[in-house]
Amino acid sequence: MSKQDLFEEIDGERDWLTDVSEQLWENPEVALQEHDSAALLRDALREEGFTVESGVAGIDTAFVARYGDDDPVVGTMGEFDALPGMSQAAKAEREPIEAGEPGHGCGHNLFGTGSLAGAIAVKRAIERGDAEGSVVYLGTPAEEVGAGKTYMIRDGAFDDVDAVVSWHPDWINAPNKGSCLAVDSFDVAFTGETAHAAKSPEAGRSALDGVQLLGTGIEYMREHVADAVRIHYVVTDGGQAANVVPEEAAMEVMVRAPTASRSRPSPSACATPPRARR
Amino acid sequence: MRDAAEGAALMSGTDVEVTQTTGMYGVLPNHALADSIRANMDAAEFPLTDEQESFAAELKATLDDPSYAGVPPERRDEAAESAMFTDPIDAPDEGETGAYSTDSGDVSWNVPLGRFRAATWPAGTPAHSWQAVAAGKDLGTAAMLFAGKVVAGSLYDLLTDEELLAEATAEFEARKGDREYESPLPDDADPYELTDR
Ligand SMILES: [Zn+2]
Repeated sequence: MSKQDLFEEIDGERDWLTDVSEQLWENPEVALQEHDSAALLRDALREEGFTVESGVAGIDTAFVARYGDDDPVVGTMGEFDALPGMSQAAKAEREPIEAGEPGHGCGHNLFGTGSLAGAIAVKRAIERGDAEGSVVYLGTPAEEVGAGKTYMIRDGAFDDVDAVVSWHPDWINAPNKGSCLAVDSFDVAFTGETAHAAKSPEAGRSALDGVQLLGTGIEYMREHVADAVRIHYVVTDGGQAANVVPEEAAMEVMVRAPTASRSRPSPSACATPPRARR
Repeated sequence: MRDAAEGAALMSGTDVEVTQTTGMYGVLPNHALADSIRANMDAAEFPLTDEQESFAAELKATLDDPSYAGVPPERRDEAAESAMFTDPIDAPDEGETGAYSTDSGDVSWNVPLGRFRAATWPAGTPAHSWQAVAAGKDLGTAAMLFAGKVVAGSLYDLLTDEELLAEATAEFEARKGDREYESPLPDDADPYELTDR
């Protein structure tokens, strides 16, 4: 069999595939609410003869579709979530279809369907006996909020897969050979003791002081981490009223760092100045 | 960061609790798979209709100061002049660490992962733009079919060429070294809390 035979399988399904993609585009669903989108892709795979497991990793819209019983197992991933507030008509001027509604600003309708095309062509090659092994399509939701795949990995969805080839919409046709930053996200909660801020401040311990000191500490830390490290934070709880020493205060902190050159993959470890590391 | 938090608590006389809510690994690239992808890009066609070409040109004209930094310097003029930049190019990001994070990073620590991008949008279109949405209905389906062929071609190569799979696996093992993947998720992590954040 030649490569062109494989590609012709996709050309033969062109109308149907573009229709699937258009249906996803017409009904953009945001992260973890991609119920219709996931169902459309699952049904397509089931009809093609894949065995589909839904609700993987406790996520309703995560699924694994499989064809074949033999090794090796190769896979591709499909994303299909949309972005909030991105509604836009297929026109060369800014015109929301419905203002404030979601839209496929990351092209995941194309992503999910392109990978579907790839999985189906390989399935048919296996079915014809032109290739030996199995093919899986990993339906990976919630890419836009991060970590859908991380849950699927923890649940073992990738355990028996030998290699994965995946893609993403862009404006170039090119393979990736680069890396990107690892990230750790934290909630940091300080608890102090409340007191009246005028009558008896000495009796209190301000949780907001803790937040501000940590923010200041992070600013000083920036000078002593690798150039590529990024640290961002927001104050999620700064207390209730200025005349009360806040008992509770909290921050959300994100730390990004390259992993490739480190012996430990945790970016929070990379972001700790070496002398302070324990 | 944990040490700084402890220090801040000590200084302010408060207690602190640091909870990791989520995390993602950086991507381990796989050149063996990237090379297979690149070869399949040359084998697959990228057919655009005249209507798609002219819509792409109209859409591109609405981009506000587009950046072509994503392609090597010698191709930037060409990218700036094309409505759609459909010529496959070699990986422009070799040896680089992009300033972004993705949950594909975690995948790449568990299985050899080949990644590529396909030209669904007019040259210079940023992701998360209204132009990307507008291109996604019809224009982008050419790249979608192209991407399907590249995925199919590389997966087929992996099934029929034992050497490619062995090479990709060996590279994966070598890059990972003796570092083990530990899930960055806390034990009680609930995916549905992600969307409340
Ligand atoms: Zn995306």
